[in-house]
Amino acid sequence: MENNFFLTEDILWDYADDFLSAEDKIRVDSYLEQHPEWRERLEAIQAEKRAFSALPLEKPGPAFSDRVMAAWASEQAHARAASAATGKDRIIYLISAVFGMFILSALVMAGIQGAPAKLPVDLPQAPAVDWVEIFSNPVFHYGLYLILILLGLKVVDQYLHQRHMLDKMKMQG
Amino acid sequence: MSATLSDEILVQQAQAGRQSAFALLVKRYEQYVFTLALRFVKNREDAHEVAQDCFLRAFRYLPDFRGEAKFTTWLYRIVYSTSMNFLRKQNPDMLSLDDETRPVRLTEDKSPDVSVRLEKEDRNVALQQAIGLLSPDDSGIITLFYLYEHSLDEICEMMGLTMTNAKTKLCRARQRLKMIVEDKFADQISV
Repeated sequence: MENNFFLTEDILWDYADDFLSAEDKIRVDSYLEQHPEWRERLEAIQAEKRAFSALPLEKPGPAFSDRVMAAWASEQAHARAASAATGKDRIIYLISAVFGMFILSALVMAGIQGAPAKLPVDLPQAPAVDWVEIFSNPVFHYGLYLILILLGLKVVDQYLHQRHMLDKMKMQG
Repeated sequence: MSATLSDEILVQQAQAGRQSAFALLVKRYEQYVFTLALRFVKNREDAHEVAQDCFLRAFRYLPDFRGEAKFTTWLYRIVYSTSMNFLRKQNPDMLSLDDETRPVRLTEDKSPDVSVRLEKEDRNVALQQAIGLLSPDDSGIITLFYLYEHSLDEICEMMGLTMTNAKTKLCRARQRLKMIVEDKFADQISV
């Protein structure tokens, strides 16, 4: 068996790294017993492996971990601010939804009053609301414009904020 | 106390939002991450930037870490992809950290193994510099296997290789390292 076996440095490295099968290991062991010069090569390889393992780890700068934690804290603060902004947005959207519902219901009510249905029984009349007067009131108009402008500004602010966050994320890779 | 806490516990605490757990993970793995980053990007200043980015990415994605792989395996992948992104920004043509086009001397070397004759400190310096001259992938696999003593199975998982590919890659990396040591550090080696 040994006559056909030829040991190379790669096989010896595999032997040292424990990559060989049990059968190949026995072959190498047997070869090494008969060839002391290869035994020396194996010892050299093992010394080289020890040298690799003994290499000191690279140390980052002294304040590295502090810088990482500061960057992480800053990132989290941004995330919290974004989250808080989202909470505020919900309130704004809720107010606009209520406002929208109010306008919608006012229009529906105006429509109903404009064409009152004839009821089979006489019901006590609800106090009449003069919707035309309400809608034509300048205070109502200005208030409506003001709210629409505020909502528009909020939408623009949100758009700019999102763009800023996206740019920042792109810069951070 | 930090030494007694396992990675799993620290990760769970960090996932629950405990800041001290994040800090302990950074302390525990700063050298691991920095050494690998340095092997990949070859420059201490850039390695600092990449290593910091690695930790931030790791913390960002920590909620998704399910513990199916070892924490170091997961962290290595982040170091690899962050280094890759960094190097691609510098060189958009770069496709991989592996440079298979490098010449590999496959002939049997009959000269005596020079590294055993090195004084320990000289050998360390020469080896560090020689590893620094390897391709990022070569220096990565040598660092993982010999310095961090990851098993070949773990390396396969980390680098997405088959066992045969990992063995071949390690063998070639070793050959290239030996070639560099002999070619570039002959003066320091011939003691």
